[in-house]
This record gives sequence, C-alpha cells and structure tokens, in this order.
Amino acid sequence: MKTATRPGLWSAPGLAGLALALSSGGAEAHMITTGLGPVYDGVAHFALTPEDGIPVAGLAVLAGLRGPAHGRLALFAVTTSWLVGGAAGLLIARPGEGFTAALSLLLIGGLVAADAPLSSWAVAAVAAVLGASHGYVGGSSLPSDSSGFLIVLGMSAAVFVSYAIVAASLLPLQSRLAHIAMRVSGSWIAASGLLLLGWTLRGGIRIAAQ
Amino acid sequence: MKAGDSGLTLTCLLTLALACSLSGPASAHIVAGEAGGFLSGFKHPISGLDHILAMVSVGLWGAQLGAPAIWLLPVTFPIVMAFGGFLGLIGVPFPGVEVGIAMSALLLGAAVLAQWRPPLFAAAALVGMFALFHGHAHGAELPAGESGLLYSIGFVIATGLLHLIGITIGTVHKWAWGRRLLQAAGAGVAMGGVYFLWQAVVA
Repeated sequence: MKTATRPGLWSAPGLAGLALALSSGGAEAHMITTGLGPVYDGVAHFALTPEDGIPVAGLAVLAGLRGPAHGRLALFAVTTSWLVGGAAGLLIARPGEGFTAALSLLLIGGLVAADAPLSSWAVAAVAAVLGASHGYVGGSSLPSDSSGFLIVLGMSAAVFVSYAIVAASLLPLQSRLAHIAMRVSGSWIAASGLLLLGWTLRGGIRIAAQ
Repeated sequence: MKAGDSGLTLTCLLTLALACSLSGPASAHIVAGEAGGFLSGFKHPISGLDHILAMVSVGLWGAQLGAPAIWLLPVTFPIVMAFGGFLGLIGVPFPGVEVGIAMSALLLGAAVLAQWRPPLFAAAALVGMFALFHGHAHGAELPAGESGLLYSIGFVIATGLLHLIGITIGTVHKWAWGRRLLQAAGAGVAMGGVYFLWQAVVA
C-alpha cells in the first residue's frame, strides 16, 4: 500500500485542509455560496467551518491511534450519520443548542489525549454520535427543500474525504514520537473545547453554523 | 521518506503557518472589544512575561525529568489550564490568582535550578495546580466574540508552543554544560517569579 511508505506526501492534503480551516475568515452568513451549486456549497461550508472540521480531524486522529479497523468503521459511521442527522435537521428545522461543537471537541480531544483503549465498535459509536449531532445542527440551519438536502450531501462528502485523508496520513505513523504528538493534539483539542464550552455558557458567542 | 516528500511536508507546514498568521477576525456582527480570530487568541498567552516564564519552565522541567514527564506534563497542562479558563469564563471566583501565577514561576524555576525530581504524580499535580491559576487569569480576561473556537485554538496552541520551546531548550540537559545552563535558566525564572510576587503582593 503506497500510503504506508509515503506519509509525507499524504500528509500534504491534510495539512492543506487544516490550513484552510484555520485561515477561514469571519462568518458572513449561515451558509457559504460558491456559485457552483448546492453540493459544492455544502463542501465549502464544511471546509470553512472549523466547528465541524476540527472534531472530524480529531476523530481521524483517534482512528490513527487505534488502527485501520477502527478507522474504516468510523469512516462510514461518521459519514452516514452526518447525512442522516442533516436530513433530520432539515425535516425538524429546530436549531440545536450551541454546545454541540464544544462538547464534541471535549469528547474527541479527551479520548485522543487519554489514548482511550476503545473497541472498533465504540469508536464507530462515537463517530455516529459526532456525525449525527453536527449533521443535525448543520441541517437545521438550511432550507428544507431539495437544495438543502444537496447541501447536506455535499457536507457529508466533504466529511468522508477529509476524514479519509487525515486518517490515511496518520495511520502509517507508528513511531513513539508520532503517538505522543497525536495525544498532545488531543489535549489541545479538548482544551479548546473546554474553553469554548465556558465561552458558550457565558453567552459571549454565537456559533456561526446556527 | 524521500527527500522530496520531506520538502513537500515542510512546504505544507510553512503554508499552514502562513495561513494561520493571516487568519482575520470574524467580521460578522463584530463589536469593539470582542475576540477576533486565531491570531488574537495566539497572542494572548504571550502577552505577559509571567505567563511566558512559567510555561517555558514547564517544558524545561519536563525535559529535565525525562520520559514520561517530558510529554505527560505538556498533555496535562493545556487541559487543566483550560479548566481554569472555563472557571474564569463562567465567573467562578479564584482568590490569589496573581500570587499563584508568580509562585508558579518562582517554584518551577526553583525546581529547574535544584534539578528536583519528585514522583511523577507530584510533578503533574504541581504543574496542574499552577495551570489552574494561569487558566483562570486568562479565562477571566477573555473577551466575548464570534470566533470563540479559533480564538481558543490559537490560545491553546500558543501555550503548547511555549512548552515546546522549553522542551527544546531542555534538550541540552544531556550535556554537562547544558545542565548548568538549565540551572542558570531556572535561576532566572525563579528571580522573575520573585519580582512578579513582589508586584502581586505590594502593588
């Protein structure tokens, strides 16, 4: 498998994706309009929403720590549940509470930092909860017509690709240093989630995706 | 790994650093005094010398103690610091924060100076306690804003990088002259702590 021998090349798209997420500007509206149609709008929305992108990247790091079997199950679990959650959000159209991003960052980051010895099904369950909750929040802010579903479809496709790229770039890294770096990244993700939770409780922010 | 791949990775890392530094504040519904983006959060922990000294000395001490403390302390510190920040954000009072921060520089510097090697649990508990003071001080000062997540990420990454700087400096510990250098650095941090303690108590 080529990915096992060329981690540097495979890490490039992941880093580029992270760079895009971190360099995103302020939220001008609740939806990104690319002019290329609703599917691409959904892709752009995911790429420019760190509240969605970072938990997915954290999930990929968790898969990177645990191994390929965990990664494969979680890949399909997070994508499918994102799609189903998004569709549910479209139908119910009742925006959720603003704690989704903070809690998922705290959960995923905590599991990565602790290097929690989860089974592959447990990781898949975490992925399903993450996908369903974020998909629901995203879907509930979209128009409840066919374009809304296509946007959710675009988001889910972006989740699939982003997760696959990050996980594929991390899975071959088996050195102790890489393992420690992944756990440190988990502690940073959890710490960011905890700060965001406090910020949300204080009422100082309004999550851009809602 | 091929040399070309390393170059590509380095290019991507530089692109990432550039992209991070270019991230602007949220422009939607912006109000003066609110938190901006990644860069605003990144600048917050490095805006005070007392914080810088304490965070770097955590890395120095971790490097002196060696594995597993060298990575356990930097994993523990951000989470505990964020918990302190969480308490500060929701308004939980925490008395003597400035004294605690000054004491952290003083005692961590003294630990590096004395090459103190307590049990791992005690080292983690000490660092965690100081992390609470630093986190609370930051949390109480954090402005409200639209880019809460980017701000938080910048804030946490800056803290982590200060530890990394300390760990990197601490790698000189494997040489005899390096150990003396680290002790001198610890003495400097401790003297800084004395100054900040004086400021916190008298001023």
